[in-house]
Amino acid sequence: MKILEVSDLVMKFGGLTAVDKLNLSIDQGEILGLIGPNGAGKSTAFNCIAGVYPPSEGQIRFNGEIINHQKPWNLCKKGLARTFQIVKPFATKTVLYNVMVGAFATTSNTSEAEEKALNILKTLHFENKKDTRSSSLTIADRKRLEIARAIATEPRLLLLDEVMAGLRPAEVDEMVEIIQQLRLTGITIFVIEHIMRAIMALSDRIVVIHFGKKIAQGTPRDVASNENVIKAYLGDEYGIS
Amino acid sequence: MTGKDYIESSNTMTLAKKSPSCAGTGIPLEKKILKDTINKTFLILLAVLAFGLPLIVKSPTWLHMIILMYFYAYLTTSWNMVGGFAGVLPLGHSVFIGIGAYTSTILSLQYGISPWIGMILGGIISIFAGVLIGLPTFKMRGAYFALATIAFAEGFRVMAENIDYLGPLKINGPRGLQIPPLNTGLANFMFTQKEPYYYIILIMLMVVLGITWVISRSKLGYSLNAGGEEPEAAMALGINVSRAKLSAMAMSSFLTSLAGTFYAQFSLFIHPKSIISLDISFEIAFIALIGGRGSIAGPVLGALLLRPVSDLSRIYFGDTLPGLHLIIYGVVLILVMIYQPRGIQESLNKIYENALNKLADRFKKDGAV
Ligand SMILES: Nc1ncnc2c1ncn2[C@@H]1O[C@H](COP(=O)(O)OP(=O)(O)O)[C@@H](O)[C@H]1O
Ligand SMILES: [Mg+2]
Repeated sequence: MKILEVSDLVMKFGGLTAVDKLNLSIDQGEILGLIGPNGAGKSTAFNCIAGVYPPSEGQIRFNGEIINHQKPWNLCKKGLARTFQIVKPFATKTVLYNVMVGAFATTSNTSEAEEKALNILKTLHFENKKDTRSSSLTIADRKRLEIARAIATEPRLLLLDEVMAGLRPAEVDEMVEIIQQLRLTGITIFVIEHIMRAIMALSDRIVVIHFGKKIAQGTPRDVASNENVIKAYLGDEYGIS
Repeated sequence: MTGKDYIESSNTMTLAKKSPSCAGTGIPLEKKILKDTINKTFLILLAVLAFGLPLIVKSPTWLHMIILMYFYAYLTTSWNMVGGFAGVLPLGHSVFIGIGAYTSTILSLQYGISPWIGMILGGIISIFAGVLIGLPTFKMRGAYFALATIAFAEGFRVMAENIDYLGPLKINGPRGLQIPPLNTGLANFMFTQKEPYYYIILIMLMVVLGITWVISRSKLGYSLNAGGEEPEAAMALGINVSRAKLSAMAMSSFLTSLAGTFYAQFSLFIHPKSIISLDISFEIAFIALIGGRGSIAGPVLGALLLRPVSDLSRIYFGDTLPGLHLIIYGVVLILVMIYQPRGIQESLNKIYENALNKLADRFKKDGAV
């Protein structure tokens, strides 16, 4: 079953077409990677799916339901969670508080929310920082906090926007492991990532966009050897064979 | 003296909020329980003190000042639900004081309805006014929101000053309304002594602090804080930020309005300049910012610190330099914002917690011997 279906999605900002007739779909339980050069329109696509921008054209279906004009908070309640490329922690609050905000999406009871948040922090090996003010976290921990908050809302589909950007190699490995763990709990994952090693290891399939248009899709192996992709996106920098 | 009551009680609340997580931090449970017990003892002790204060302070002048102190602590705590938790800066809350004062006063003067009932009705009208102001303005950011709320308040004051009769209701324009002190007694919310007013505002303050504590621990409190700090992230986490802010505004308007009725019954004379003035709206914001916006203790601490400044400057410089207290507030505000950006509650809270820890340790040692 398709958990997400995007058909002919167009998003325009004034004269700029950030996303251009994008088609993609994700199966239940899949990890789909979305890659493309900076400014390709990846985050914009996420923002349309998550309800931040109503699409200029096209259709977005989540669990079969058209969600084009739904608000972010309603989509969250329906099981669609996301992280932000530019992290947005509730800076004056502790890690636990941040995650509890997410946990309140499925309960109105404070102790229940706290218990749930603590469990999530435990599974993310983040428990020792629970009383740390989120403004004093390292970038790796802030990214982890984004994920912790998002999964506290009990999503069925999780959109991850560059959660590994700025991390050290060891931290990237840890993050890959976390995402694989998440998939095992039954969450479908749609992930934007720049770090090739990570996205190749993680994704079942990858979609590549360039100037808002899809230029390739397939298994990591297919995509890595696709001429268009190498030319448009990977360039000479990445000599993946 | 009594003010400490609230400082301590609010601190206890912060501690109580943290306590469920103590288990994981390695703090022995025994000590946690001990600290809770000390906190509760303090709380009870200070509550007793607050209630006993009028037995010690006999001077009506002093009582009057303390009543106004509580009155401002109450107002600022009510304001804090929006201005503190929701992260916006409303500067027109005197509208609700005005609605409360005029509603109960008109109803009691013209229709003989008890001010207690008028108080509730005024509160309900204020909810509508608050939501009406909030709907268009909560989408605005920062200074624009603040200016919009000022505009509403000023518009309301000018209207009140220019209306003598609203249908059958006598508003009496700039001359205001005088409440003849005829039928005293609890049912009429009118007393010849200061003490009853003292107890009424004390109980009101305790109730509003209790409500704030409950909200800050509830889903609504988390939603407001999250929406105030990072609205986009809050929305992505399932929070309808505008709706949360409107709920807070409704509660804040209602509670602020109750204080309006209290003020009318306490001073027995209301006119637009005295109760719908920007002075009051600004003073509330000053007290909140200096005390510590968004905290439970902040508004009370702010009122304890600033009200005496206001009163004394009015007593000594009222004729020569009216408004001096606002200048002093400004200076204090600048200093606090530089050295204590989260208000004076933060460092006082630390001091209290240190003392509490030491005390708990000592008790533990004594107990072990
Ligand atoms: N809110 C916005 N208003 C105007 N232009 C935008 C907005 N958001 C993104 N863009 C533009 O859309 C294009 C795609 O941006 P983005 O989706 O962030 O790219 P990516 O995430 O793939 O790096 C860029 O040219 C960017 O400048
Ligand atoms: Mg991006």
